[in-house]
Amino acid sequence: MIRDNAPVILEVHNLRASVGGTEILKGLDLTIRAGELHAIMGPNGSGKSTFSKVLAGHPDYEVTGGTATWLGRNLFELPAEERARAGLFLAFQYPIEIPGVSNAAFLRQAYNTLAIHRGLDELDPIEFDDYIREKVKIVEMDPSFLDRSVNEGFSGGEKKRNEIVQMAVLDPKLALLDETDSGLDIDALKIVANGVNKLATADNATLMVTHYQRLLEYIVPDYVHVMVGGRIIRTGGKELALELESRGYDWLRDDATASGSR
Amino acid sequence: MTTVETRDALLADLAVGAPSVSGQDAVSRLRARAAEALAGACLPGPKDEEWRFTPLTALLEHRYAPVSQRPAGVLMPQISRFIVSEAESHRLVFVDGHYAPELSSVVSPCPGLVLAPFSRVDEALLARHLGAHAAADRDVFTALSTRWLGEGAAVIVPDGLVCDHPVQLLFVSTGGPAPTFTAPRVLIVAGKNADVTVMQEYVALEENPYFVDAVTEVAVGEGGRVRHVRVQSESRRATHVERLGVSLARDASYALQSITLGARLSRFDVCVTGEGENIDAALHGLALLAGDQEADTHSAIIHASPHGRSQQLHKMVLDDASHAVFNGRIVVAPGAQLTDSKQSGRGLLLSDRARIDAKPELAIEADDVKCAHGVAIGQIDADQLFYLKSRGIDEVTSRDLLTYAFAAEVIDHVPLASLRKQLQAVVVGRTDRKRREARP
Repeated sequence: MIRDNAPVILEVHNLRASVGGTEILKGLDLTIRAGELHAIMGPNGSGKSTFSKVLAGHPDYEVTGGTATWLGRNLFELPAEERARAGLFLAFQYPIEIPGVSNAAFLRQAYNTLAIHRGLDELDPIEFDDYIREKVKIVEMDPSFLDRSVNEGFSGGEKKRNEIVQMAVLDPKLALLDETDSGLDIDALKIVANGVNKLATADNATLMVTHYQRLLEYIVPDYVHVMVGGRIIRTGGKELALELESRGYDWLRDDATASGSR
Repeated sequence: MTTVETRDALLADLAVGAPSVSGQDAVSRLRARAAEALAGACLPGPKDEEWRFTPLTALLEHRYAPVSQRPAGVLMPQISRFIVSEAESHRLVFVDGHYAPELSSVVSPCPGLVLAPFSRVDEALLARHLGAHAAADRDVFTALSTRWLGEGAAVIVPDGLVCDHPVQLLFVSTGGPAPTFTAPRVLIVAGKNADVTVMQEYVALEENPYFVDAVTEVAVGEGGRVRHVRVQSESRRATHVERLGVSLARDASYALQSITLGARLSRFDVCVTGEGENIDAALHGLALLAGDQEADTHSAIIHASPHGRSQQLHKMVLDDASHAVFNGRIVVAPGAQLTDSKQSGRGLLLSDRARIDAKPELAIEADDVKCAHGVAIGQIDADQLFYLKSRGIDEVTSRDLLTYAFAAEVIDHVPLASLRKQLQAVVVGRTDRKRREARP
């Protein structure tokens, strides 16, 4: 939902970032307002996943230039956990397994940490059990997954559902969905997409990072950005995704080269 | 005072006198054998392969004296926090090596179960088992402990008895200002198809130096099952040396959870021998160390007969400048075909100054066996840490959760719910304490 006067959640300007000394993001600009659904598409190695990890504060990525303003604050001054508490959520492309930590205990810890931050009451295990049993319905997850270790032995689809459950618990301002569609069969994709749609409101925003147009059939974006070589080289509406699906990325690459030499 | 002199001094100090309870003839004969073994013996040093990584420096900083009289004034309120509720009517308590009947509770034992100090146990049975599963001359510390063998704790489960209620054996050191020497002794005998859970814990009332030299012997008869939990929570200034010898008859099963939390210096030697065919042995160990603690676990699993299974998981969590040693030996004797043995040692280092020395040893003399072993030592996983932080959980709590998760694999195997809870609190409480200390 595009509203011109909606508050800006994230404003990224000329962002440069590198990993292991190699520059991946090379001057990226993006503005996300409340209520908007964005998709970043691009070929492998274009820097899509790097962008979401840089925003979430992954320690392996180094910001070398540019700015990211989060609700008026410098995002890069906040450690990862404070970004999460401020409302930034990353759904991992490859969710991490944590043997020995129960999913329920993990979710409750995350919920209560945030509750303290937001001035809400903490929930004890019994109260939380009632709360979380409602939340897992969003992605039709079997409650038995709450008793298992975090992501341990989960199938690809189950892991992605678990990410959306975490998103529901943390109730973010901006959700970054990093290749959330990868490894999902069509039924699981529909369930996950349905969950994301249910959580989208006029006050929050979603940024999907994806390789394929398929996800965008179920979560319809307001904006589609094309990322090539660490920069966003074209922005359009949802129809741009379809064009990319049929034409690939090369025509844009040529365009970008042409405009770069202008 | 040179080291050699202190070494001699320790054994010399403990070479005179006798335990206050002299015990039955079987006990005194064994004691005499130990005294013989001690004549001319000296404490191990860095050149002894078995003690290569574990200097006795902390032990030798003090002189120790046996406790001739039971200390007065240790009352229930002081030990109530150590009591495991599941074993309410099955408890023997020893204070500084002396049996404390008024702190013990054997009001309604399982019919047929013998849960008693040695002085009230059939002598023939003691004669048959004491020293049979941990020989008096096995090593100098076993000899020293046996030399001072007086009273001990016996758990005798007759053939066919399935004991529903667990047994607790609690060894309390008062930890007074004068460093003491005690030699706790335990004998667990499970008959044919008998079944029992025994929890054995070493605790301290005060954080002073003392020396505990313990020996435990376990015999499991044909088809018998013993679940054994051992928790070492001695004073952080004490030295704790312990030998556990286990003999398994045909079809017997034995599961041990060994938890090391206390002592400045500790050494735990466990040797499980599968004498009969088709035995099952599971050894789970957890050492949770901080400060300048040193904890050495030497294990040996001996498969002497075919079709035996053993699995071992030893985990070490080390903070500050602590040091752990794990030496895991698996022996498969000639003829012990179709043995299936797995061993895994894992260490989690929470500090740059912590150190682990691990050494698996396989001695396989049969040709149709499965033996897998491995040791892995690492730090908190960076990806797991980022995942938790990306959910808003702060650094300290995230590390806490991951440390707990590492230890949980062993704690979750503890068969007593209340003890599991206590141990969970210990793991989490440790980091909580650190967090408070870190605050300005």
